[in-house]
Amino acid sequence: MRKSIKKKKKNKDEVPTKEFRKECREFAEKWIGIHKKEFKRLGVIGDWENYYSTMSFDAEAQIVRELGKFLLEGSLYRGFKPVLWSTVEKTALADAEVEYKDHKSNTIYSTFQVNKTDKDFLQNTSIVIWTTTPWTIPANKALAYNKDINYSVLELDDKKIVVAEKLINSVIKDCGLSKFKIIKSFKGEVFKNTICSHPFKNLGYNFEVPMLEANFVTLEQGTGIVHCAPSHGPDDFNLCLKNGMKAIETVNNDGKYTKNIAVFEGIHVFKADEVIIKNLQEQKNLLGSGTLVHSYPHSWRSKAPLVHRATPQWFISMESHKLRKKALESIDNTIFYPEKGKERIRAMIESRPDWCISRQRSWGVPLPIFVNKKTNEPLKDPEVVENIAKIYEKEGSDCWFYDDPQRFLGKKYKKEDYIKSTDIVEVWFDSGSTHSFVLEKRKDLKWPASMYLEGSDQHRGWFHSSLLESCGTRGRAPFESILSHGFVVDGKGMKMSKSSGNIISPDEILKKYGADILRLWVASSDYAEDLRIDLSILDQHAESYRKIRNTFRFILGNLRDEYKSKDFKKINYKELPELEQLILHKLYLLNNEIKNNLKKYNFHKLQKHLLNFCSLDLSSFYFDIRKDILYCDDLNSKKRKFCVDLLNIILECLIKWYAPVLSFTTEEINELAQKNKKTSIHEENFPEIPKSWENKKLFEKWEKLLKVRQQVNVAIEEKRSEKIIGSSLEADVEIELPKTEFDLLKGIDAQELFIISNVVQNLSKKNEILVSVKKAKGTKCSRCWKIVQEVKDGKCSRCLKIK
Amino acid sequence: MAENNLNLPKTAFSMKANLPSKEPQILESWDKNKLYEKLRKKSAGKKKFVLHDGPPYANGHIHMGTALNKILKDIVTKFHQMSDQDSIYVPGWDCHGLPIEWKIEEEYKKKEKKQR
Repeated sequence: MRKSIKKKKKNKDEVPTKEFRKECREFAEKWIGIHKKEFKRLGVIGDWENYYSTMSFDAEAQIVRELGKFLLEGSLYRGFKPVLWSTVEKTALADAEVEYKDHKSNTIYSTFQVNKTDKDFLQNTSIVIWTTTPWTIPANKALAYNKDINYSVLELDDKKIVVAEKLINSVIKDCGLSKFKIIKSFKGEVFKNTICSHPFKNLGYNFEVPMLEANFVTLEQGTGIVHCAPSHGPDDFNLCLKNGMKAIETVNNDGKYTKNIAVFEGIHVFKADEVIIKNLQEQKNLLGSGTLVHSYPHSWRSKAPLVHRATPQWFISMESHKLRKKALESIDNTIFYPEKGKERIRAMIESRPDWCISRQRSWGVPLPIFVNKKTNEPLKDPEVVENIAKIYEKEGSDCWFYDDPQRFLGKKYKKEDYIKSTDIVEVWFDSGSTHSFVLEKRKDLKWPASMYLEGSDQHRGWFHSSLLESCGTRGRAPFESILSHGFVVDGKGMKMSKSSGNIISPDEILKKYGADILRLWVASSDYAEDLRIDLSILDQHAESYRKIRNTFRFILGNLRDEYKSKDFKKINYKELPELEQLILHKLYLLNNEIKNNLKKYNFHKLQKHLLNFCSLDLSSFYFDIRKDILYCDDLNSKKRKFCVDLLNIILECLIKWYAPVLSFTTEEINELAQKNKKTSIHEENFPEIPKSWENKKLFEKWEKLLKVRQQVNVAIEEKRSEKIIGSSLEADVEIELPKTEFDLLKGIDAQELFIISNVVQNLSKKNEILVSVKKAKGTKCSRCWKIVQEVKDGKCSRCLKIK
Repeated sequence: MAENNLNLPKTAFSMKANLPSKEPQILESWDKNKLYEKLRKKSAGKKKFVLHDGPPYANGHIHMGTALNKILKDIVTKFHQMSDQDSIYVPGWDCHGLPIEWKIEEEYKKKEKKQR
């Protein structure tokens, strides 16, 4: 599009780029503003005022310096890479400028004679390929096969050919082969180390064409073997580069073969098919030909068909300065959560090709490179790099496009001797450099970072580019640890998409549930896998939230919204009833669980422990038992005071433990329970739980008692469902216990433990627990609802004393 | 029951959370009280934990993936902060590149069509 503006203002070539970049910058700024609000709404606390961006002037300047390091050390080199090219507009086109529409292409089946092989049955055979771009045959450098596909050797009248077993029929039909015999079938992996000759060997194409393994080879069409021209296709390019074969310039701007294409130099590729087919026939390497109407890329402006064409690009070598080795070593020194991330990124670094860092676009940091017209070498002068960086720091990088190149070169060099690069730096280099202009530059931060935390796709993206950039410039990774998480999928585990209609937006959740529910979902999900979400899953988390909220509500209600801070170390532990001691021991255990799971960032396990504590240990046990004391005892009763102390302790622990996840709710409680305090809950540290609260012996004893309690509860529940009793307080329980349990229960207030009105304990002769429940006889105290033998004014003796 | 002098629980902490309306008020108080600055001041000199933000692309409203990522980062940051560390989080954005070029070009295309 910019080209069209350029044409209108021929003499001011620079102005549209400047305007265009200005609009890009404003667009990005607008979205940063929107994102900021949306992220803050989630409860995320950070330095929102002083955020960083890759387009700030100091970022652009530092990106120049970082690139300069690769340039100066010599690991940055110029090579060739295929891009989608319009021979009409003579320019590369981005994906967005490409329209796919039907196009009639010439198709050929061509043969490549096997030259070297480990296998006897491949001797004197020819590998058959099929292509819709016959003109790319002169640029062929390799053949690709799939190691898992089955292939067959067919005997024809005059030769033996090799094709995929499943495609024999279509090849036979397309090539009009009437007589053939299958003489051997084998797995693709057998092709390893096989080398063929180019079909134009006799025309001077006297080089080896290796067979390479590639999983992009399928059985969809053709022969199951793909001809690779690294200058004319991205898959071909990557595969060849991986195997040490670089692309070269085979076609020029106009679409004509260059001097690198012997015999055919100067022919336009759109007129070349006929010539190539004729020559293949003469060389007896044409098995068949035809035409195919298929979807093919066209320029959205000129409507002309496009070609993949290798163009000059800048690369950072993985080998010249041992970048691969440094990166692999750094992976070993990085902690990965979950551990599987390590192997994932290692495999990618091991096999990745050199890093192409140039793009033929406008919106990015211009590549700060001058190429000498005579030597064709890039200028390597630290002063020039620093000069460019200094200029960008002051005014940004727009000036590169319109200022006099002499300004950037300084006085030492003449602009007439150099060609200024018109490329920009690819964005992954930008973000791969954030560690340099954020972590290193800001005094409040540190380098390397403690952690990088992203979706698992970033093993290919940001983790990867940051690792390479930093290893290349600083010899190690810019992070100490990496935490990666899965993707958000719907309730059935399917990818969210517009067409499936299963997308949930954060905004929708915030409006219906609130950020704390979303945060609880995040913290309770196992991020090592994909994370499922839909409304029913959110409802489950809303239900968990309700349990947690009710736990807090019970505590706050009994404290009358007044929290009194307790010095945990000064709690007189020995003085407390066993039940309170047990709860302190549980807090001690919970604290250990939290610490251990935090070390490994196992938030979902930690959340489970916390939720269980709230609902099992507190709501349906401790609170249930203590309701009587809290509601009915005198305010000054010792037992009640102990219980209130415990509620204060539990509140402090829970509010702090929940603060990182339920950031809003804990703040709400904090504001409510400490009206005079002006600090946020997020300024607090986690509680320190005294070792003296650990009490294994007591815990073991109560584990046994709780088993008895469980059996009693079951028996009471039976009578309740039979409508023999209403609440458990109407129960009179007779219980037979084995010796251990009998002795243990003796020292305990069993009525209180079982929340009943009368209990008779007997020693069992059979070493088993037997419980029988009947309706308690007596009168119900009108105040505490216990059934007692004697009441006065309708009240039991305890309640009678309370004024 | 009231006549019985029971100490029944009493709290302003409602059973119904009303998070969608309550949370923005809490956000405001964090902003007003400059919570981030207070945290930095309070923990100056303590062991630093720096979670370096991978910059999201500055384009389009946030989706579940970005929300998950940011919340997880915030949880990690807060857990370290509360473990007596100076846990610093500086958010960032990735701004250059094709998606934004496309958006601006699209706008040009629309304008051009109108001019025809």
